[in-house]
Amino acid sequence: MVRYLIGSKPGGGYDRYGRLVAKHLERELEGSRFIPENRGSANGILALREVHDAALDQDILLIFNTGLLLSELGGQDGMDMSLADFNWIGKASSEPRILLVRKGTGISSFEELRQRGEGLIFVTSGFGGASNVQTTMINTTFGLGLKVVPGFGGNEAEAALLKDEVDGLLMSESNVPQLLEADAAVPLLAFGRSELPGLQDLPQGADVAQTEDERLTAQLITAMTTLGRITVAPPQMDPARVDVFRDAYARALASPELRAEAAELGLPLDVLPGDETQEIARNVLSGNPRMRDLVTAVFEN
Amino acid sequence: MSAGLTTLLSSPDALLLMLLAIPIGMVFGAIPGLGGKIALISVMPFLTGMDPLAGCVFLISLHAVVHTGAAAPTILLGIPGTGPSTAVVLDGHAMTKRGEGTRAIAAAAFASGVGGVVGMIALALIVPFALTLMTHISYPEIFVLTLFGLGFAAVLSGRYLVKGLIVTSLGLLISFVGTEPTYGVQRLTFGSLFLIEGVDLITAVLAMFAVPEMLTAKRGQQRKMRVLENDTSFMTSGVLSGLRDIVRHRWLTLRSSVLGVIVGIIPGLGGDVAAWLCYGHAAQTSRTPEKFGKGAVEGVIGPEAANNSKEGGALVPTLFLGIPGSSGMAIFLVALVPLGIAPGISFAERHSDLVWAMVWALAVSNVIAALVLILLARGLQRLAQVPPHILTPFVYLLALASIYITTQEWRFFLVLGAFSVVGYLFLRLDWPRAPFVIGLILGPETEEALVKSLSLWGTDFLLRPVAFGLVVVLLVSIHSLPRRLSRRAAQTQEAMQHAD
Repeated sequence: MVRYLIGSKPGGGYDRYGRLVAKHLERELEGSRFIPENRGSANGILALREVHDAALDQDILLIFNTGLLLSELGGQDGMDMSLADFNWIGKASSEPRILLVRKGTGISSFEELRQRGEGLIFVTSGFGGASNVQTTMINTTFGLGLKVVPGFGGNEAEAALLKDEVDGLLMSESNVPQLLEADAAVPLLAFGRSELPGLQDLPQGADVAQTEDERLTAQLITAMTTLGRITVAPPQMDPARVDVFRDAYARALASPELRAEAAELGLPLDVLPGDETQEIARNVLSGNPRMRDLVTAVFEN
Repeated sequence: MSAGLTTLLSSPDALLLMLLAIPIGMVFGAIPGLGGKIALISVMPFLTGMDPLAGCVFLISLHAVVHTGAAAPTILLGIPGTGPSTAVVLDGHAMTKRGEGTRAIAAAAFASGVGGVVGMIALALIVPFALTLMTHISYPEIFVLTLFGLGFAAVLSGRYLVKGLIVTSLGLLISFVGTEPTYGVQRLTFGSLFLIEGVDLITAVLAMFAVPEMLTAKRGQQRKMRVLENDTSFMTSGVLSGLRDIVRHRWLTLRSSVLGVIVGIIPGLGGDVAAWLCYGHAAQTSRTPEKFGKGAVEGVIGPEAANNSKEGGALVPTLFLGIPGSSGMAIFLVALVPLGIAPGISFAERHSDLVWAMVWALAVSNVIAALVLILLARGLQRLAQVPPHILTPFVYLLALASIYITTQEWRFFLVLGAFSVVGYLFLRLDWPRAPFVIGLILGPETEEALVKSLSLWGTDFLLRPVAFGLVVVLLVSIHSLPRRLSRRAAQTQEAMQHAD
């Protein structure tokens, strides 16, 4: 039996990807039985610890919230483990992030936001969440002068924008089309390549970065969008067993059955093998010390 | 709107799936700890390839009737089936202990049915003004509404006002355990990760109400119940009494239904808030508020009507704006994906027949579920006749299972134990317990609404038209509260003297 932990509550994107992957891993590993379990408490840190402390002979995997990478970079309480030590099995998708403003602001480009952004209200997830850290970093390093207000979940932030209560936000690409359909928002900047209509030609964060801090911020956010829906195994798992899981993961994600089911469920795929995913993550976690300082500064403010 | 009914009736698949969804949804509601969200997640794998109309009707019916099903364990065993059912447990279970389980179940069923239908009607009337309404009711207005809710605690405390305020404060204090949602500050967690998300509501309510009641259950009470409930004519009169209760309290039923719709429309305010606001409203407007917590049928009607009508309200932002009005609706949106349906701004215009068919399905399934619950009332109430020494261990197990299913964290059993001691002491010392839950539920909502209001509007938030109007009403209420409470205390004393 393989316990497949999902580091989020039922119903969200991680849950949907996790259950899909677990189901098809079971098919690829003949005779195995995968049991998905939601472990959303404390943003998935408890689940991560459970996998970290698993017995040597225990088959346990975890799909975790990539916001934990930022928690580690920022030296947050409770993150006394390094994600780089885990065995990364693979990643299933990417989700580019889009910076947008309310149409009523009259701003139509990132350059205009640089010039006229002072005092505009941008809402984010709760303090320390991925969108909060990323928005604050953009605001600070690009010198926008925004008022960043935390505490807004994704849907709540969209509603606030539709009601003209806030001026902008950084959000996943999949939620942008309905705001564009409502003629309520103007997308300004993308982190990661989007294929969605109206978002393909947006300038990338790296394109508008002028200083080293701006480049590092764009680099970090883009790397975070690449590292989506990752599955990891315990650090101490036998390397041969890790290879078994990595191979099964690659086969499952490439299978027509999983791809067809993902398409029906509206779950886009952007697969990367475990070793390559681990390499990107290690670069993020152990790379430029200035990047770590920028994230830490967000948590300390 | 009428085209939606035609669409629904002309699809045998949709009607069949609606009938299939009702018992499934009711069972998910009746098993403590499961509820509507788990129900939706569980059926998602079966949706692929389903006809979009039939699939939508199946999902909406499944989710709509969960609270109706939850009434059974809540009223009969004192174990709330879902979060919003916590508002029913107090008076519903007290009625069962008094031998009026069938009446309570019937009142809950009728209130649920009416709530569902009123929810649909209000939805139809509100849709053209939905965005305007959402614009005028935002964080400042939610903040003032939650202050009203906290004020209800005083009414529920009856003659024990000081005790009630202390208990409310304790509920507020416990509600602040965990991570503060806006700035992520950990409070009262004592370094423990499992408390980061705060104290689970179901755990707290079980500890404060169900466990102390079980500890003090008397065989005599149960025997009395058996005599009363075994009588067939009493059974019939139990259902009729429930119906009469709804007729007698028709305005409360309607007001709670409308309040439920409004709460449902506001994204972020959950069913727990709707149910407890209406519980408090029922107590505040009752002629006998002193009976609340001891088996007042209004304490069942108010939250049950709101539970079901809220779903209609939550459909407004969900279907017409693509913004889920509740966490259950967020999962509902996800479940629509395999059906090829993506609600958004123009969705209702492009698929008005489908949208209104779903709205009709919501109302019809609520009515059918209410009838099913009434039909099952007789069989279900036999549960309450089981002698305490046999029933109690099973109820304890059910309580523990519901906590584990909800939290997946064994350490909440320790929280259950600690709070059970507090609940038991409150019961023995005759301290009011409902204000504790009001504080527990409304504390985070009040705080979050205040922080967001100040962040977005500064101190001017109270000058928004609706917020300002609500503040004026609140001040008038506070001014008149001592007079009303003393008048009610006098009435109660007079009634007691007459009884003697």
